[in-house]
Amino acid sequence: MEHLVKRAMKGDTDAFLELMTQNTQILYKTAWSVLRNNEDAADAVSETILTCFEKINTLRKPGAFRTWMIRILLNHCYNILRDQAHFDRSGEVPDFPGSMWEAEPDSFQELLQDVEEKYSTILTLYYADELTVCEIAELTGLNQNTVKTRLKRGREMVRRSLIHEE
Amino acid sequence: MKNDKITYGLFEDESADPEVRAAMQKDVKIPEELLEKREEAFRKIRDGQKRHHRPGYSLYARIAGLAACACAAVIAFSGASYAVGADNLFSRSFARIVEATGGNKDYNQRKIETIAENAEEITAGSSSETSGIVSSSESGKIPADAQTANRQTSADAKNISLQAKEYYCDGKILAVTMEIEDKDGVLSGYDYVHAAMGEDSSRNPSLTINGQELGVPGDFYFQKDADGNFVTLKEINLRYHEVWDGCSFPDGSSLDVSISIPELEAGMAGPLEEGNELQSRKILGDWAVSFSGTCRADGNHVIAENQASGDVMLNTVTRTPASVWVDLTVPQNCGGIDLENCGYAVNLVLEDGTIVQPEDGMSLNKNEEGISSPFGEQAWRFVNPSGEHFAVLVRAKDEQLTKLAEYHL
Repeated sequence: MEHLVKRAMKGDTDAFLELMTQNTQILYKTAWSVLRNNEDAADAVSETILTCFEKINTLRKPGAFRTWMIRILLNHCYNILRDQAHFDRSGEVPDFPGSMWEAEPDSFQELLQDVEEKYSTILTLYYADELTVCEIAELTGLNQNTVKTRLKRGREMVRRSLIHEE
Repeated sequence: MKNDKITYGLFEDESADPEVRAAMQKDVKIPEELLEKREEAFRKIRDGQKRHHRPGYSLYARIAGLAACACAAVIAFSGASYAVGADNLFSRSFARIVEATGGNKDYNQRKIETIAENAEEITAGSSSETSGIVSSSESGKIPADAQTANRQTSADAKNISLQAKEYYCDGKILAVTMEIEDKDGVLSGYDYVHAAMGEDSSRNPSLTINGQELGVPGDFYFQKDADGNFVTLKEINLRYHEVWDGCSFPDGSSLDVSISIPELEAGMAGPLEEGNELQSRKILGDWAVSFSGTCRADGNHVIAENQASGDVMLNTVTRTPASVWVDLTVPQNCGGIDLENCGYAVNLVLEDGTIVQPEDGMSLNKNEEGISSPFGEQAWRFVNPSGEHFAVLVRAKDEQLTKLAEYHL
């Protein structure tokens, strides 16, 4: 992936688009773990693609691309949540989390459907996005021990879910 | 490679890990609506509706990555002509870092000015004994004969020398100035030299004080000076190491400091350009310097202690020559807010409305389980308070602020 990042950093649009295509799984899973519905996840991912394109020439190290991209994605996700909280207060009926998707059996979503957002996001960043505890702590503003605690608890929840499926 | 899992006790139960990992990494069906929005975004890019930011932004963006480690307050040094030149340089480079962090610009600028004021006072003849600032003509200047005391204040590798020049220590922070001299001119085309913390821990900078290797020392960022050498002022938060590494730095105690840098990366401040081979360059070596010194905490004064306000307990406010430290105990349930919930941060606000955020490792909070959190014992640091009044705020993820306590000193 690094050669694509380097090309994209130098302004190669095709390389950038290929890069984002390759990262769609990561982007979707991460956005879904925070937002819990496909429509918002789609908005967050598309905004992330545009922001990454605008700013990729400010990226300092190609190796840091994935963390950088996820940071941008999380910011967009949190913006969406903040906007929704604003609408909630103004009297609109909020979408019930999880109501806008139908989980396939044994899917990523089904695995996380009973896991609170604060755990599912950390789990996704760690297992699906393959970030380190240190990177997750930096991205989320949590300290490393909190990340580790949430990973442990989240993993126990997922494990219970896996046993239940069996 | 996730070394975290091997290192930390919280991952003792490894049996579930492969299952969870496999389940989490399994590809999912991307929903149609997402694919459509992705295509829409791609179309905007292809059509030129979205463009790259102009290259002018890239310098700040690059420095921004350093800000978390480097935006801690600047300590100015007095004395030698080197320091005089460096003051301006540091002010400029830190001003750029501060600007890159966004927000609180006035406050950060004031921090820099405070340091400059301190430096002038020392230069004018203030006693280092009372000020706590160790001038370069006294023990703050790392002595040339340090080599004879088994101290290696300079190190050479690949014809690049690293030299430790001066230090400052008030028991709460240790700051060291260092200089890189490039004898072959291989760095002459570059704007900065960086020793960064990275994935490969064997190539990370390390710091040892009094024989104890301290946790993450953070990045070292060397800025080019007028002579073409690269200089840095590295600040080490001793308070952090006191809490987490069990170190102690009382007044008059000896300091044996060793700094090792195994890799340097030279870079250019400008935008990336096609075909420019000078964009960056990694140089492997083994630059290890060490020096001895003395911790001088006799210039520190406790100006307030044991004051409760709301749910918050102010333990002490200590003024050092370089800054003001505020030690608080914040309960988990504070002002009707459960601080355990994600996204909260505790900030201080000064009399003029400036919000002081945690700096490099300055949030020293531990809860009863020994885990860091926004509550528990906290240490804050700021410089040049605009008045004798400050408030404690909690900042939620949505940026909403709630006042928890207020103090008049």
